[in-house]
Amino acid sequence: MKYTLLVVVAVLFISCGKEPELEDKMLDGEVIFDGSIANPENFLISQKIASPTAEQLAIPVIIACHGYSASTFEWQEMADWMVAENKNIMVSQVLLGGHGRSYEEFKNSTWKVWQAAIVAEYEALKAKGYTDISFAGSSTGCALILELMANNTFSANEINVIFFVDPIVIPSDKTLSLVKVAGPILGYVDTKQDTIEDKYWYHYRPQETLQELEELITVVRKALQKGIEIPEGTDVVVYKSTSDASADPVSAALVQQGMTPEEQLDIHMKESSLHVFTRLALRRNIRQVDADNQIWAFGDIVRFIEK
Amino acid sequence: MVQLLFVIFFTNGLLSASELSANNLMFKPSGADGLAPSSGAGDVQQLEVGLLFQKSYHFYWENGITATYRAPFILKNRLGLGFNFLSSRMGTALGTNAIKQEQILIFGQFDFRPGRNIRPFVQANFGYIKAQFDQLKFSSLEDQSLLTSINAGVAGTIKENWILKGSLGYNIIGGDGQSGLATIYPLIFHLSAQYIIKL
Repeated sequence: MKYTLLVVVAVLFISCGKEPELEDKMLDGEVIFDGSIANPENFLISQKIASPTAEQLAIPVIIACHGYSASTFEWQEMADWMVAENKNIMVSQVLLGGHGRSYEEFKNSTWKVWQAAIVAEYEALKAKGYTDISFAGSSTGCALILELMANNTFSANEINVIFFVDPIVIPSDKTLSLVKVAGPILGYVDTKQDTIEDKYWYHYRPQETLQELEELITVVRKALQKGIEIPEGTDVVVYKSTSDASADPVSAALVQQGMTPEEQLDIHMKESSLHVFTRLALRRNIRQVDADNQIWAFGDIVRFIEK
Repeated sequence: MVQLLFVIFFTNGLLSASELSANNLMFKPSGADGLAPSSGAGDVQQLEVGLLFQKSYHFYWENGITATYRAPFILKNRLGLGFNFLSSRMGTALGTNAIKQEQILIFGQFDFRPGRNIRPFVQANFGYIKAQFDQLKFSSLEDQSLLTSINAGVAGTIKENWILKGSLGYNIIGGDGQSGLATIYPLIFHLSAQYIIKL
């Protein structure tokens, strides 16, 4: 009995606080960083145009917010599509706080730090005088925006449309709820993702950030239970994959039940098994329905913006 | 708030049972085997009925009723057979936008230290859960599932006819975003207060 206890304590001691082996070819390392860090003017509209004209200020801007452990790459395809299709819509790709940098910076970040970058870009665009601002969030980006809505951050007629792609309110992997207990023992989670994705998504997820994610989605779930009012003049559109290994599809039902008024809310359940189905770059085995879903979603976003 | 009051009441009750047991004030042996019928052991059939509060860790409160039947011919009252009925409508979904769901389970509960006022137990549960999503829009979502769980805890007898139980459990079946019901969380806590009816 005494020796069993010693072994358990030893395993816990060795396991606690362990760090992954980082490589230079990973976003987690010290060499690769998100492009918006060195060249924010290529990603953020507030920095792209120093002194916008009255005509430019009237062009719709979508503040695109990526998900947990991702980077500005998650919304790159939509930004490129808008340009390629000559849509008169600008996409401002926000890099969430603590993201796109080293593993250590990510590990030490909180969900409020992640969210601060969204607010910063929004405030910057408002300060410059942009009049047609919308948001597009993917996965945790949606949760961060929902939390802002729950706190009445946006007034009536300030925001045109808020788009949620695969919002996470309930995770697909319910063991995330145990991260506070098991996390310190595990130290981090190895995503085992494709190496080609290592440049744009963290390969390793520190347990500290998983705890932050769990806290955020709990806050949002409770806010939806209480009820979140959509500001007057704003539409909310949800696009949700029917099968999703990261953000449980029931998250869309929670958004639908928790937001009012109903007339300002649109929910689209899409036959897809992809998480953030609007991003297809670097995925293997893309089906025709996946390509169709992406283009349909981009077109629907334009339709709502231009209504 | 109701749940918080219950936790305080339950903890106080367990402490009382422990203290009184130590002082031998309520444990009055009777019957051929010298064990008190109020603590579930002995030669009487009994039904334990009462309220059950379930909290999924980092998820919903689902509350309801519980009943356990014991008889001398079922492992000398050590094995209780029962059922639980729980609903989020009597928990987190009361007055909120939380998902409304009901679950019914049958279980077998095995007591250690029979005849004592403080008894550890293990329990295996099998049942069914049904959730309600209001819109036709969500017809693609699974809204029901079988349930299988195990829990382990402690039961304490108070004032001869009352049992307080607390346990920690684990749901074995759950959803993963690709199949299964989404609103089954793995770790669950149970608190119950049951009145003993001797049959």
